[in-house]
Amino acid sequence: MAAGDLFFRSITELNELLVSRTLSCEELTKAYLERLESQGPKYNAVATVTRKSALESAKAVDDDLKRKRLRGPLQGIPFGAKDLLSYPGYPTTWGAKPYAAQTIDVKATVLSNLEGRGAVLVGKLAMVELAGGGGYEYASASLFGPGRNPWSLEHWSGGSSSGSGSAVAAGLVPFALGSETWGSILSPSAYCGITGLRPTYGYASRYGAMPLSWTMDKIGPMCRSAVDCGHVLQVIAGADAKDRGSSGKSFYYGPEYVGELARLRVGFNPVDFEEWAEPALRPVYAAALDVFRRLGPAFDVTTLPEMPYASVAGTVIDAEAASNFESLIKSGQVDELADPYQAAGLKVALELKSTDYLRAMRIRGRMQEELSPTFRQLDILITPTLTRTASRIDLPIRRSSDPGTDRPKDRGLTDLGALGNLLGWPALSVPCGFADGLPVGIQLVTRPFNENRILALGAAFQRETDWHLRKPPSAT
Amino acid sequence: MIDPSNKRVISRREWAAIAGLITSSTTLAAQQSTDPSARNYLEEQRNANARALAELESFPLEASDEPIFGMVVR
Repeated sequence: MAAGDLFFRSITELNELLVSRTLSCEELTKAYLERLESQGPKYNAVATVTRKSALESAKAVDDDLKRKRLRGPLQGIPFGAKDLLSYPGYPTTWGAKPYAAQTIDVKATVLSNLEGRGAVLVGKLAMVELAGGGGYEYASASLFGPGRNPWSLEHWSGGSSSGSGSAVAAGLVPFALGSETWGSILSPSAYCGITGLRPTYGYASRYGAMPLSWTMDKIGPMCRSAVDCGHVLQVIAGADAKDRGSSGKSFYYGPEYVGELARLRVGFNPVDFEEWAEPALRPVYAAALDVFRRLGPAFDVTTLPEMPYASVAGTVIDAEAASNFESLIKSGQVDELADPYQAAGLKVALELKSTDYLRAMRIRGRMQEELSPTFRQLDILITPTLTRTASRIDLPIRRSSDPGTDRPKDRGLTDLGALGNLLGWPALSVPCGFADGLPVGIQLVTRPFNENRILALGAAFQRETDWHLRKPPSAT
Repeated sequence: MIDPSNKRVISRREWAAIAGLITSSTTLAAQQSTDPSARNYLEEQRNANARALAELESFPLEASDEPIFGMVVR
């Protein structure tokens, strides 16, 4: 087996090599540690390599495997975690200079869960400072420098889970954990050509994670395939009394229980793919939709009612982030952030009134009332994950809300990113092609606690395509 | 906020990398401080917030509309 191939194997393939004793966990862990150390800097992807604890864990896994103590598909699999998840004995920087030397003597619940199943933490991964709270303008808004995209080092890896996206895409880790408040798992997944799952709000514990927005933060897997995402979610999901947002539910990965894909009803809107998406992406989406149609689901055109989705999401995040970082803002240390636009955003967020926040939360309640029934008629919504490919790292990050952007009159489902995060809906982004040499992602969204549906459809798409198997040219 | 006990598990190389990051990190604010056309970021962010709040205020709420507290997912 060529070493390069090893780094792009799926979780189950790697686990088979370990269980069959073709490879020891220590050998696999050392190989990934060396790769993280040698190639991580190329992408600004790594915060801390956890070499010592990883090798100790790997030896324990080898001992278990020797004694046939099998713990499931993640046993012995190295992984990385966004540097907002704390792990005793190592820094937890939150990607921000004011916290560069911070250590937190707590092991995040999701990391405990993964270690309990034998997964091996090999590194903490770079991120946008404070997960982007306050709003940032440049890819360089990070203690670790701009996240570089393995498909083009001059382009951004996306954020705020930048290192998680580029590390998985470049084969530096078999999978990683990211977090999403509004776009931070799905965006880097789409930009880097990997598969990312934003779980239902409350499925995976946030205990030990940096809080940005208590009512919107989610932890989720970033992997090579939908199948891998299912395996990881099964381990990280579950009740946790230490997280007030915990749903108390566990997740069993069983895509086979979804039934025939031909019985699913999929909502979509052509305007998202043919008008909102930039011209270079449109043929990619047309081909991807053809694949989904061939899989058999019925497609219905649908649209979202006119509501202030982005303004509600922005106000909720601003108000909760300002409360979380009040002491940072008031102390003036906020000015140490790399992106002055973001520092200003946090300062201004502190000026929000309680009535502004409550108004946003009341409108959010109305959205829940009016839009939760969407999934009585439809099983899954499909839209572009993003309507454009990654920005260049030396230019301001482009957003569809930028002034001057040509906006079609019909909103279609373009606000699904804000809405899905506000209502805690799960979403999966799968790579579906390339435009101008950069990856393109398509997102599948479903009702809360029904991840198996989107994982089943995503996996079926990945059986028909090979976009998720492509290796970036920079990954040697 | 450095816990000295952590030095047992963090290698010298890792600490050196972190220290390097701290010293080499130059904020964009510092880079742009010499720019005569420096932007007023606070003003830009206030304007963005004002636009968002105006949109929220124009949304017709009713007395029965309660905040979403504690029930993010239904």
